[in-house]
Amino acid sequence: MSSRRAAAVPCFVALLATACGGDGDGGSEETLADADEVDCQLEPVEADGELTVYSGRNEELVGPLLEQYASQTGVDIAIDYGGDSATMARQISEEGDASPADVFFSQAPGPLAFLGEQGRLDTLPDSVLDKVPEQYRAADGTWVGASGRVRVLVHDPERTPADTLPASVFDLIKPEYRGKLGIAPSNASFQDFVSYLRIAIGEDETMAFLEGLVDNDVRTYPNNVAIVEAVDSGEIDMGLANHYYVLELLAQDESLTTRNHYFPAEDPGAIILVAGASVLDTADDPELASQFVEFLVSECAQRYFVDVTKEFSVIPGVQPPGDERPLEAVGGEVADLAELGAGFESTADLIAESGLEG
Amino acid sequence: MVVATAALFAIPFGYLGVRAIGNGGAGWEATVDDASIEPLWRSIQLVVLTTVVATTVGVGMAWLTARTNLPGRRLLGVLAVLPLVIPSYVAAYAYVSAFARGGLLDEALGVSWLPAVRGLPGAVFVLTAVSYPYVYLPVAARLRTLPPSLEESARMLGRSSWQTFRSVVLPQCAAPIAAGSLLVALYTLSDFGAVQYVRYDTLTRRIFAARLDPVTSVAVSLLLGVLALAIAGGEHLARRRFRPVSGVGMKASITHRLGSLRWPAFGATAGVIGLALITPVGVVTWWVIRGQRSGVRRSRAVDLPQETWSTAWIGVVSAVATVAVVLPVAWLVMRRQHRVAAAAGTLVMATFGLPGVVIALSLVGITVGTSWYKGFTVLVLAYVLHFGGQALGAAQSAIGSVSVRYDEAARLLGANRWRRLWRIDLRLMAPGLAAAGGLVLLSVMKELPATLMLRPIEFNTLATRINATVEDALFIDAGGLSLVLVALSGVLTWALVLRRH
Repeated sequence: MSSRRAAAVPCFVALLATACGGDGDGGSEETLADADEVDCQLEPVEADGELTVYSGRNEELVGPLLEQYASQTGVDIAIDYGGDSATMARQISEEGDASPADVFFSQAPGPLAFLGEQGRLDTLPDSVLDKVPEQYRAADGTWVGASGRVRVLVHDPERTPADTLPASVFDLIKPEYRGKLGIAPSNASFQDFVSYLRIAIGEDETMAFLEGLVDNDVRTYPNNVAIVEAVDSGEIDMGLANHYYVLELLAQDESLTTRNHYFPAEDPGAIILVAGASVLDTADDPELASQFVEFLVSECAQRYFVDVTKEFSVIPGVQPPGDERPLEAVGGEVADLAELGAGFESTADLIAESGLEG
Repeated sequence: MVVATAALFAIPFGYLGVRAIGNGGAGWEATVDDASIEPLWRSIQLVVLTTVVATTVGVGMAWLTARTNLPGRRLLGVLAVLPLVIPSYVAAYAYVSAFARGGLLDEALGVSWLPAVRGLPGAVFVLTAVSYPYVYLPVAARLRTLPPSLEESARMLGRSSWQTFRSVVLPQCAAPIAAGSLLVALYTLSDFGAVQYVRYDTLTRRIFAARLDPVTSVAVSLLLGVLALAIAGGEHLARRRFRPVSGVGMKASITHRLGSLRWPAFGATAGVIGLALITPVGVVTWWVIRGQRSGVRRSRAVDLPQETWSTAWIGVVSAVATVAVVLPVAWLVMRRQHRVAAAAGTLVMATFGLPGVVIALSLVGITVGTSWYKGFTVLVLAYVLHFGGQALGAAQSAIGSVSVRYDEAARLLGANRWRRLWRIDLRLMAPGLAAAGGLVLLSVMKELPATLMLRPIEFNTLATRINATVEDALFIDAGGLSLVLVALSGVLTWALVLRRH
């Protein structure tokens, strides 16, 4: 019996290996980030020390870029991918003066602001700050944005031309859009959008909007990819998502007919969610740490975010591919969710209370 | 030695105490705030309900598979253990997405009337599914070894099957039932994965939500710690009343005939296994299959053989270390009725009720700046603290199952203390100690928050990769990793624990 049990392992591994290999001829099996896509050609850095980066951003997304920095500059870089950015910020706070972290790379501004309030962030040099327009960095110069994600409405321009689309995200609860919209209530970015609404229009209005979506027969999906696929197959006409899903799927499959529609800049439907980076007060070599942050906002790294992770660049001049407009032209409000404090987490409960399930 | 063990397990409580005192009045206000008291009340409800339901399910499954003529009882008996290998966050994610409108069950079977897995009922459901084996395992083991004489007498005196079960069998199983329910209660108290996905706002969820508000999160953690100590202490007081069972049956235990209830009982047992094991495994398999069909993007970072190996070895090392640390405590409690050891045991149990993130943060505080920080020693220490309680209960049962008469006989024959320990006690306890290690092994392999915080840089387990891929919606990889984790856990449990029984 035990030998039969043991045979189950290779079976599972084989199943997975098939999954890893893909079907071969579909051409759709593509890893997200191909390290060769962007070559930064960095100068070697004269530094003895090593750099410890705490990254709340996923290795899947930023790993190739950071590895490229390490291999080209020769800097001995250790990257700690700790999962949730806020938990990492708390860990850095508990570590105190003995923290091994030199740089903190966060998925969102909130955790950076938390460390800033505790006086744990160094002010970045002007050479770094000057690269990034002021709406995408901390007013006190303790962190800079590294890339931006924008909330959009995805649709098929053939079926639903731009002039038939709602002028504001709030119009989606009108009768003409009944049963036509898809959302992903459990997705973190959808929740960021709802958190932003709580700050911008208040709890009651946010609840009324969510209930309006339910009453308007909104369709719910497990994630954003499913929304884009549902729009593409004609199951729904439009969906709320982050901008990069369409770009990502388009890169894999040119026949995709779904496109991004950006709400006007002043509309809460077009908010910008930025990831950011900072130098910690415990950095062994603050200069080296700043150089690393400067690298993140360099033209080449920004090109990586645009080409590989399909995010927006936070510096002027790095254009998105195709017919997408650059971030400053999209121009939505930068969501600073720090204001909600610990109440931030209750957004998921608010969404559930409204009757949205997903 | 016992004092050293106690000091080790006091670290998280000490950390919370020191931090709470440091927070002063603001800390006290945060403790008595409604935003802390309401989650406390919800945690108590969840712990009580889950413990009652999981104990009922566990005892029922144990009785049916160990002592009745249930069809397919041998296979069902093995399958009934396996839900233990499914991480609560994977199970919860799978149930929530399978039962949702437009979810797998809706899509595949067209059933859209299923209740959403949400709130208190959802949390009780998920946590029962993954934790009833804590009761099932020790109770089934006891039922198989109970001497048949008492039951035979009861039947001869005209008691029905049910009356015999209630008045003779159940009291003799009191100790394993209590030990198993204690594990369920503390596991439920410490769980974050399930309550997060079903959105039931317990203390652990509040601690997570307040992670950028240290005063509140310390206050809530302290409430949780006090509750864990109360549960562990209460069980300790209750345990004194149990009479030890004398001897182990040499004759085969009685098999009861279910009669017309045979097939309904089969339906109930298979139903539990269908819900607790087949549904979550089916859902993650479905992710892999569907993901492959639609060709969504794949992870670039996952290195499956490496992560499988890392998961297996850190699990085995931590399991051995944990059993070694708690064994002296268990020994002194069982053989010497040692007071200090009993107090240490209660502390070890209570630490099992703390969430992994609290244990990890306490170790961050005392090891940061040393060369051990983010090294394997501290990571293994975190696992020892986190899961020592699981090993302690099983180790005590193992020691209790070895009659002291053998020891006395060997002493009369002139064997010295160490020789007796090595030749008799450890040999006879080996299966029970392996079971203790097995429970720890399973928990370590699926542990997430402490692993993320304390692992050496670039050390990845299957669990840390599942976390990263779910977060990034890489569902083929998440599903594949989960299947490998479940399969690896199943194989190791079989090899190290079940095979010996």
